[in-house]
Amino acid sequence: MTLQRLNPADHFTLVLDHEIRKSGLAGNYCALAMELDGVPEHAEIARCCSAFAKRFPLAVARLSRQGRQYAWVPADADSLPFQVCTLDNDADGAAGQQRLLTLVNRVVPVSASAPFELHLIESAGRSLLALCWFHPAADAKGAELVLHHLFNDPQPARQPLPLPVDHLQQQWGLWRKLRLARQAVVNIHRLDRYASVLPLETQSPADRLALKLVRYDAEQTAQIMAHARKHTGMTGTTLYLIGCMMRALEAAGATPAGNAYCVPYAVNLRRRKALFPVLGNQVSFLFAQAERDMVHSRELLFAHLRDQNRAAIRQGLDHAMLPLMQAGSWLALEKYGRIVRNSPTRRERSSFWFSYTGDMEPEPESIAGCRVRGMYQLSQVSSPPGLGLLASSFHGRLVLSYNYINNQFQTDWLERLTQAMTAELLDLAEKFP
Amino acid sequence: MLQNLKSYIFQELLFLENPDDFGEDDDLLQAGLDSMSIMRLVLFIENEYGVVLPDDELTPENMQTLKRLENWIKRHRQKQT
Repeated sequence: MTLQRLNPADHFTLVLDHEIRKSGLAGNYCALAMELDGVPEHAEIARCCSAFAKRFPLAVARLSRQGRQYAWVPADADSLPFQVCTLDNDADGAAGQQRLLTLVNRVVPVSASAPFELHLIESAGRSLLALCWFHPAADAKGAELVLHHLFNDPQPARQPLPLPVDHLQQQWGLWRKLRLARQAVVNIHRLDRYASVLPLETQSPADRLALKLVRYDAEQTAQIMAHARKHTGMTGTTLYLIGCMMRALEAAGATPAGNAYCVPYAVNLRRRKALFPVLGNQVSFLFAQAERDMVHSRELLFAHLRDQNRAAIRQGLDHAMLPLMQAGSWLALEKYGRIVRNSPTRRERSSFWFSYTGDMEPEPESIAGCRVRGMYQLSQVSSPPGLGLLASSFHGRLVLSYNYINNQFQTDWLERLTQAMTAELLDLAEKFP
Repeated sequence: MLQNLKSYIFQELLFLENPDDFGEDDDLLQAGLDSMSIMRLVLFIENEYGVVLPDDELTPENMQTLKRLENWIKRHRQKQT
């Protein structure tokens, strides 16, 4: 492997790593946790880790500063790190979750961070197999592909070149890039007319990431998807989830300051159902924003989010962030981070972090001989906003992973939030007064 | 038109091992076309065929198969010429 520069989306996640560390947290680390019936053979997993590293040398590289930018450089490793931890008793999975959080909360310097690590947390006949990754190495959909190619696809992954992010940029000449970047700037200025509502105002430094999972059964999930179709049409489970979360925050009691919710969300640039590209962040970004008053009416809110999303795509804003991110990658992390997160009034722009990866693709029935019972995701978030919602679906069941800063959110407030979210998703919420 | 739509969908939006086997009455939504892809497809159609497709007509009745897509576009081309 030769030196490989970060693409603009990779670099964007590195900036967020810088911002997360600045909040006092470990860095931009994520995990995809697979809940297994049984305990897989350690030797088999180790073999898969080694084979994967041979096929994808970048998966064991390390990040290094090269002039004003960053790149992956070869490292002295020939396998993905794989560690086993045995717990005495974890009947409800809570101890495994805590162990996983401990791993994601470890502080490791950027230059020593492994792009991917595999952790097996075992206890009495069941286990949690977690793929932990450093965000500049892959996006969440890519992590699903890593898992697929690690365990279930012995063929070399097709890696058509150029990759989606590079391909888009190569299609554009300088003037087109400048026009797109300008469009993105105008859009961000438009967003900044409003001050974002935050879940809470806190002055206390962040201590560590914590997690609350809410799972929905197949029947509830079908109901939620039907409501999503009804309210946001063919174009938006993502928008339905974001809108419900805005309303749930309003119901649970977000800070009184701020006059609009603003939520950035990733746009996956891979072709749907493609098993490639595996590595790198192949995403751009869009924003969902709604004035606080509008959030009080489901009908108004969802119609607004739908129209906003369609207008954004019609204007090409889903791609317009890329040239801007490319320009940003020449800035120092500190300065870029400030621009990315803060409005000109120095207020945090994101009301919460959000990701929806839909159904896991391909959905593994088993991993290393053990049936997969369920899955969930987790990700570090910056503080503020200190709250991230990761939504995914496995075997037709929706899983919501609330990622939050442990010392900044009260348990009863989170309980109110998650209950309000469930009521919103199932369209059972009472009207706002 | 059908071939043009098919090329765009399978080169830009959706991966299939054997796109040639995908027929004009096969289900695009079941094959994996998602919300973002649908909006990109609409944009492509509007630019390529010079029609404006109203948002309230973004329904499975108009978008579920290549054949339905073609009929939808033709209806609007007739209306708008």
